[in-house]
Amino acid sequence: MADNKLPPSVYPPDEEGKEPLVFKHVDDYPEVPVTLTTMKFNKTGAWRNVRPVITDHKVGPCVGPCPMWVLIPKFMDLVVQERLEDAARVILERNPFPSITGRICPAPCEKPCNRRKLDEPVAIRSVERFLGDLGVIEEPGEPTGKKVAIVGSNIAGLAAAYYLRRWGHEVTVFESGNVICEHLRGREDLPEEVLEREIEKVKTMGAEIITNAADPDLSGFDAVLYAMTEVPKDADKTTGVTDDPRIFKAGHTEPVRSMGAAKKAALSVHQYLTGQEIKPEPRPSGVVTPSQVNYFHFPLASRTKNEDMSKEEAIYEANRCFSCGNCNSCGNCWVYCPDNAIQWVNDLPVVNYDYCKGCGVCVVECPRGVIDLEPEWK
Amino acid sequence: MSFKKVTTGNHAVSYAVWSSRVQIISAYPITPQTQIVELLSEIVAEGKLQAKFITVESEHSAMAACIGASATGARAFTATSAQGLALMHEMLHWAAGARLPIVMANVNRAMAPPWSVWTDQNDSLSQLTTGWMQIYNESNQEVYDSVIIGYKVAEQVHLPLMTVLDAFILSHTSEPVEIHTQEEVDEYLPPYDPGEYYTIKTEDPRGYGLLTMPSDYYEFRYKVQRAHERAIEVFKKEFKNFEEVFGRKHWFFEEFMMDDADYVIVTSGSLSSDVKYAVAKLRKEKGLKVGVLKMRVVRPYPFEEVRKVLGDRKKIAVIDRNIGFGYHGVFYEELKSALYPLEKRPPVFGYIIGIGGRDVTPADIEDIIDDMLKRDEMTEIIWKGVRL
Repeated sequence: MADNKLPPSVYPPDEEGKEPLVFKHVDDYPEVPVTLTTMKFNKTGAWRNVRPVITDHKVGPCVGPCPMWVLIPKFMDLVVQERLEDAARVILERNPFPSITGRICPAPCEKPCNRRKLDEPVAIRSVERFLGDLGVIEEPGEPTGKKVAIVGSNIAGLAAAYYLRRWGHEVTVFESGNVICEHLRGREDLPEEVLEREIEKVKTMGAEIITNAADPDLSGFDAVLYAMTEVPKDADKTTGVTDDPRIFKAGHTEPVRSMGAAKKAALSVHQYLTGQEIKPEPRPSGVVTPSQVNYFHFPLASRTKNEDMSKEEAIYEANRCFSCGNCNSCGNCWVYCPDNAIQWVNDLPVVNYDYCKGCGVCVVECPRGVIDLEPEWK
Repeated sequence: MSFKKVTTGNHAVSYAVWSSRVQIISAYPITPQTQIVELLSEIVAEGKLQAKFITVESEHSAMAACIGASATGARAFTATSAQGLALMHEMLHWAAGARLPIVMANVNRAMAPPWSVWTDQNDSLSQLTTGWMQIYNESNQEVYDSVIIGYKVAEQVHLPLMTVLDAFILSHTSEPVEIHTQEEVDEYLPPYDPGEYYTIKTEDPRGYGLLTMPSDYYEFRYKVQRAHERAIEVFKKEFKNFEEVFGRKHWFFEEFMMDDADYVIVTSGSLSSDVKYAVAKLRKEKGLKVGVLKMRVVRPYPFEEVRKVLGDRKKIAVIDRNIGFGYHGVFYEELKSALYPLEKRPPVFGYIIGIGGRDVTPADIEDIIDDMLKRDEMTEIIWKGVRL
C-alpha cells in the first residue's frame, strides 16, 4: 500500500543558482545511500582539537650519544635506497673519518637503539665502516683568506683540520714528533693503511701537516687550535674558548670523543674568524622513544655479525634500522588516514588541515615517531 | 577443460574464490572455516591470484575491510563461522544497506554456550534479516558452484550473499568436485563493474550511509527489499546461464523423487543426503510415495516456486537442524507462512534434529517419516534424537 499523498522530500541547493533536490518517488533516490553532491564543503578540520604535525627535526636515540651527532637514521635510509655515496656524505657532514670510527668507536649509538626492544640493536658501527671504506672525499670550501694553526696531529687535530678546510680556511697542522697521529698507531683494531688513507684525505683537502715542529712560530696565524689527547683544563668544554680570544683548545683521552670536542672547537674558530657570535651547536632534540615506535610494523631480523660488511649486508642491516624520527616515505599515514586527509606531495606526506579531524591514527601508525600530536590551543 | 578433484568443502570454496578473481580477501581464523582462507592466503602469497589478503584482529574488522574494499569497486571475499559470524553482525547490516556485493562463506557451526565446533544452522539463520542473500549446500560441488553463482547474482542486484556449508560433514570431508578452468569461469563471471554510485572516488568525496531523516530513510530500506525481489529473477536467469556454461543444474531448491510424491520431506544442508537415502529405500521397500525438497536459496525466499511444488501434497515434514528459541525450527516456520496463502494446503510437521552436530542417520529419517504418516493434526515442535 504505497502512499502517493506524501509531500515530496525537498533539499535546498548547496550553491546559489542551482536547482533544489526533490524526491517525489522512491526511484528519485539513488539506489545506494550516498550523497548526490560532493562533501568537500564539509571542512571537518573544524572538529579538530589536536593536530598531527609531520616533523623534520626528530632523531633516533642513537644520535644524541654520538660525540659528533651523526644523523644515523638519515644515512641508514639512504643506504636502504642504495644511495651509498649520499649516505657517506651524510656521515662526512659530521664525522670526517668514518673508516676510523667504524673500527675504534665504542659505539654509544647502539646502546639505546630502539630496535633492542624487538630483537638486537642495529650494527650501526659496521654500516658506518662500510660507508667510510667507500672512500668518498669532499671538496674544500671557498677560500676565506684566514689562516689557522692546529697544534697536534692527533685525531682531534686532524678532525679540526678537516672541518676548517671544509669551511674554506687555510690550515697548517704542527706535529712535534716525526709521526702523524701517533696515538692511534699500533692498534689491532685499526690497520695502518686505513689510518694512512684518512690522513691522506686531510691532505687532499688542502691541509698542510708539518712534522718535527716542536716549537712552531704561530705569530702569522689568525687563530690557533690546540688539539690534545686529554680534556684541556683551561678551556670551555663545549666551545674550546680560552682566555685568549685567538686561542682555542680541545681534546679527550678517548679518541672519538676527542674528535667530537675538536669539531665543536673548530666551529668556534670558524665563528670567531667570520665575525659571528661564538655559539655551540644545539644538542639534537626530539628523540624518538620506544613508546613512539610502532613495533607492529617491523618483522624480526637478526643483527649482522660480520663487521666487514658486503654491500648486500649493509643494505640488509640498514633495512633493520627503524629510521626513527626520519620520514622515509613509507606511506603508512596515507594508508591509515580514515579521512583521506594525508596528501602525497613530492613523495612526502602533507596533512590537509581542512579535513583532518585530529584523530591521531597517523601518529600511532607512523612506525618511526615522525608525526607529533600537538594541541590546537596554546 | 574442467577436471575432478577430490577435495574438502573448505578447499572447494577456496578454489571457487580463486577462479572468481577475487581482489580482496580479509578474514580472521575460526574453526571450522580456517582452511578456506588458509589455502587462499597461500594462493595469494604464491602470486597465483592477484589479490590483497588483509589480516585483521576480528571478524568485525574482516567484514569492515571487505566493506571498504567493495565500496571502492573491488570484488571482496571473507569466510567465517558461528561466533565469528555473530561478531560480524553489525557489519552485515552495513554491507547490505550499503548495497555491496560481498560474498562470504559461512561454515555452519553451533553457537556457544556450551562451546561446540560441530554443525547446526543457528549461526547463519540468526542473520536472516540483515539483508544478505543465503544459499545452503548439500555437497562440495554445490559449495564450489554457489560461490561463482553468488558473485554473478550479487553483483547484478548489489546485495551481499552468504553461502553456507556444514561444519566437518562438508567443510572437512573430501569428495570429488569438478573444478573449472579460469577461461570457463571467466566466460560466466565477468569482472565486477560497480557502476556510478557504488564506487568511492577520493577526488570527489561523497557521504556514504550518512544520517538520514525519517522523511527519507524508509525509501532506502524499500530498495533493499526490492533488490531481493529482483534477485529471484536474476537467480533464475543465472541458474540457466550456469547450466549452459558448466553443465550443472541449480535451482532455489532441489526436487528428489517429487513427481508423484504425496508426502514431502523438506530439508537443507548435508543431512539431505541421509533423507534422500531413506526416501529412496522406503519407495523401493514399501512403495511409499515420498519425495524430498532440499531448500537452497532461502534469502530471497522463493515463495512462488515453493508454493508451486508443495501446494498439492498430502503431508509435509520439515527437518530443522536449528531452533528458533521460543518459537520453532526456522525452516518449518518459514515454509508454513509461505504456504498459508494457498486455499488448499497440506499439514506441515516440524522436526528438530542433529543439533550441535549430533549424528543424523537414514534410520532417524525413516522414524520421522513413520511419525509423519501417523499424524493428522499439526502440532508444535517435534523433537527427534534428544534424551526426553
